[in-house]
Amino acid sequence: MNISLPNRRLLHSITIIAAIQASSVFVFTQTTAPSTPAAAQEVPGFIRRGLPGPGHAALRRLEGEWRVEKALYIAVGTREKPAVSTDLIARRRWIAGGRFLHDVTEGSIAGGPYYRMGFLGYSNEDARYEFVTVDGMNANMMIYRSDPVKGAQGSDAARNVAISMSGTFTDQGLISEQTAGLVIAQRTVIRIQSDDRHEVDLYFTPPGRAEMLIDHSVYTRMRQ
Amino acid sequence: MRMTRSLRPSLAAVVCALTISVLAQFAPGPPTLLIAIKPPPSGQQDVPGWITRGLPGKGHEALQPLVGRWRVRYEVYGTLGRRGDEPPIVSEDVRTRREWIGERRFIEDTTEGTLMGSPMWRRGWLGYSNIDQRFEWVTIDSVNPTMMIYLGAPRSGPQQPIVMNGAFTDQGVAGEEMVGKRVGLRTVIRIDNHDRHMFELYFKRPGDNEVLALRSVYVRVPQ
Repeated sequence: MNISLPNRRLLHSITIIAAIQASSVFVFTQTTAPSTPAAAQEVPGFIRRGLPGPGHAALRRLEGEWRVEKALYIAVGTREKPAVSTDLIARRRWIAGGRFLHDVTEGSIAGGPYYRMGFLGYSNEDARYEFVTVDGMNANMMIYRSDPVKGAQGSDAARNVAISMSGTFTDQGLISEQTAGLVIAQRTVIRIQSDDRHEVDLYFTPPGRAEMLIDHSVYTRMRQ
Repeated sequence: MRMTRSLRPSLAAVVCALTISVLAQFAPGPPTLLIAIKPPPSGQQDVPGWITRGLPGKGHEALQPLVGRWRVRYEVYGTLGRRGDEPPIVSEDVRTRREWIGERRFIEDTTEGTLMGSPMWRRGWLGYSNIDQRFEWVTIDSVNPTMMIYLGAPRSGPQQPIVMNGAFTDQGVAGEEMVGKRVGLRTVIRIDNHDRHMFELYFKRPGDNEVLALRSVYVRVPQ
């Protein structure tokens, strides 16, 4: 394979960025990626625009190991008598060079095992948060996106923020047999209250009905 | 949800019984015939629909040949700033491993190696939504902070080849002139046999014809 000069420069640029990210230095701003002005000029735009930025910084406080207290108001629980668990553990770590938080939550609820895997990111180009989850109950993926975020700042990393992301899914009957096969609107809200505590709520809106809270989780950081 | 008590069995009992039957269908080795969702056996009449509808079925069976470790021939055509009209950049130094997660509802795909002498990394999750009767595929990588989300057409079923569509807002991988624009995506998975398959990714730039962006040919690594 012949590599053209532009591609050799690209290779060099990618190597620089990979080295920066491999050093575990979390890159918050695009301008901090190259170490020299000359290197900055060589970094192709499609690489530079994909670097982690302020939107990712705002998620930094979600990283780590968390004790989860969950109340589930559908399926195995009801609004009056939620299924409750206090033995869930969520483990989150950055993957893809600090672009996505990988979340695995495991434990038990209502006497059965619980498993959910998700990844949470921030699309620089769309200026929005994106969240996808899979679990051990639903055969479909749950896909959520926020509205565009105006003016994400690096200082968001230290602020208490609420991130709201919406989507739809086709119900396999979680809400009721009557809603099986219907498209349901869903909304996840992450409320970061401190470095050591945050909450995640999940809401469903069946057709013709008001939005209802179906899952409330409180995350408390586990001490290492 | 207002589920009657009789329809709300012990989750542990339901999951245990159903997991055994599901796991048996995905036993290691050559792919076995996976039956569609079965009615619960006698004594488990209370298994609610929201559980049975989520069980792995024929769509998941169709994905079983993709599980394992793979050597990949990675051909770059119309992405990473290229238009697709040049000879491909090829890497033979790419490996993929895939395994079931989510009680065998999703395949987690991790692809690593080198491309043009630099490290590359991609992770994806591939599933089949029973209720939508379609395949679903999401990937993330170490270049794009945008998730690439592909969905099969509703009710397209577990047919071959597997075709899934999506779109993303380009940060320039489809060309500088595409920055900020929506680019159509299409992934096609062609499974030749238990030991060989191919993924193709196509871009549809606004006002342009669809072009091949990536082709990956997978050959099973013997265990």
